[in-house]
Amino acid sequence: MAFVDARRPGGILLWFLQRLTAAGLLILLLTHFYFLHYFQEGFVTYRKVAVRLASPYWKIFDILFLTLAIFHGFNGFQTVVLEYVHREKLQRMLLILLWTVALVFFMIGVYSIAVFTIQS
Amino acid sequence: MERCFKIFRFDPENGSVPLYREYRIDVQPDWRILDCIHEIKWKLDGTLSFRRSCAHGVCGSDAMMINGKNRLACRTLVRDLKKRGVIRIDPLKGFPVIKDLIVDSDAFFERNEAVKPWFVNNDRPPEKERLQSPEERDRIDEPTKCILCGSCTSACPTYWYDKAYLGPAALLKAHRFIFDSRDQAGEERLEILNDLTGPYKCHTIFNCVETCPKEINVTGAIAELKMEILRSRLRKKSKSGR
Ligand code: SF4
Ligand code: FES
Repeated sequence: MAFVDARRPGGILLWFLQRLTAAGLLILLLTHFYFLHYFQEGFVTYRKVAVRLASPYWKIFDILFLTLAIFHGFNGFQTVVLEYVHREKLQRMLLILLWTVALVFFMIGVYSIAVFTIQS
Repeated sequence: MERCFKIFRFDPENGSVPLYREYRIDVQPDWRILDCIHEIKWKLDGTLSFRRSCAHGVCGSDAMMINGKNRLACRTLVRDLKKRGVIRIDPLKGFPVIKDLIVDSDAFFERNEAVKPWFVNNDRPPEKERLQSPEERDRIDEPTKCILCGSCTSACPTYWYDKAYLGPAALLKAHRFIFDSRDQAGEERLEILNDLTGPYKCHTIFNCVETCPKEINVTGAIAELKMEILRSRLRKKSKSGR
């Protein structure tokens, strides 16, 4: 295979977004850890977590967290597929499958965060 | 002092299978590995094939894997290697073998050419030379030392499994011209590099840095290219925005 046939423009966007989401995840993760494990007294209980998750601000926070994590993770997967799967058709199929799964995960995640309320 | 050399032998044209052959010769500690394989070829086995040309670390043709690491045979002394045991010599990995220690480097040079490794400046040439400040020269000091021996690309795991990658040597060559203050085709080269075959395939494994006989920080240069493509994008955005 001549090298020129392998050329496919792009690359920077995926790399840049991967960096950006990584930085975002780091901040969100530290915030999350801080509130979950250090900010409050005593052990982490279901009740405490539930109260937090029921508040609309934390819902926004968690949906943002979810978005970044899913993109970051699946973009990593995509890189693996792009580099290890060399048969073009298979590669395309796997990429479609990958992002479909990502979308489904995302929707399930958003749904479960959005509808969460405390039953008492 | 007698040392044993275990050398990879393969001659596909004669339908042979790849194997290692052992040779015992008397060597001095200050002999180069190149001297050793000359001794073997000239006195023991004339069929042993390898490339070499300058014999002084300038041409890059005798890069080979010596005791598991890519090195120039003409720049490696016997005493640089471990004192005991066999000295094992393999052809560069990741390239097809033509015969014994000779590899097919067409693909390597094809990638090098893809980044337009020549000086571009369409201004009228000045009376004398095109001047550069010492700082500007420093910027490209490392990449200009590259002798295109292929050690880095051959040591790169990304290149092993994914031939749709330019590889460290070609990227370093692009760096050498992109950051040359006198060159005018930088943007064009960055456009070529912004490709799924380009620097973003580098996952900072650092094998290239470890193996480069000229001690060039190849991975660092590739990281600079990643950032420079980003900057060039932003430059273009801010221009077209106005
Ligand atoms: S960067 Fe170093 S290892 Fe790579 S081709 Fe140039 S001299 Fe050889
Ligand atoms: S023979 Fe030229 S670099 Fe070794």
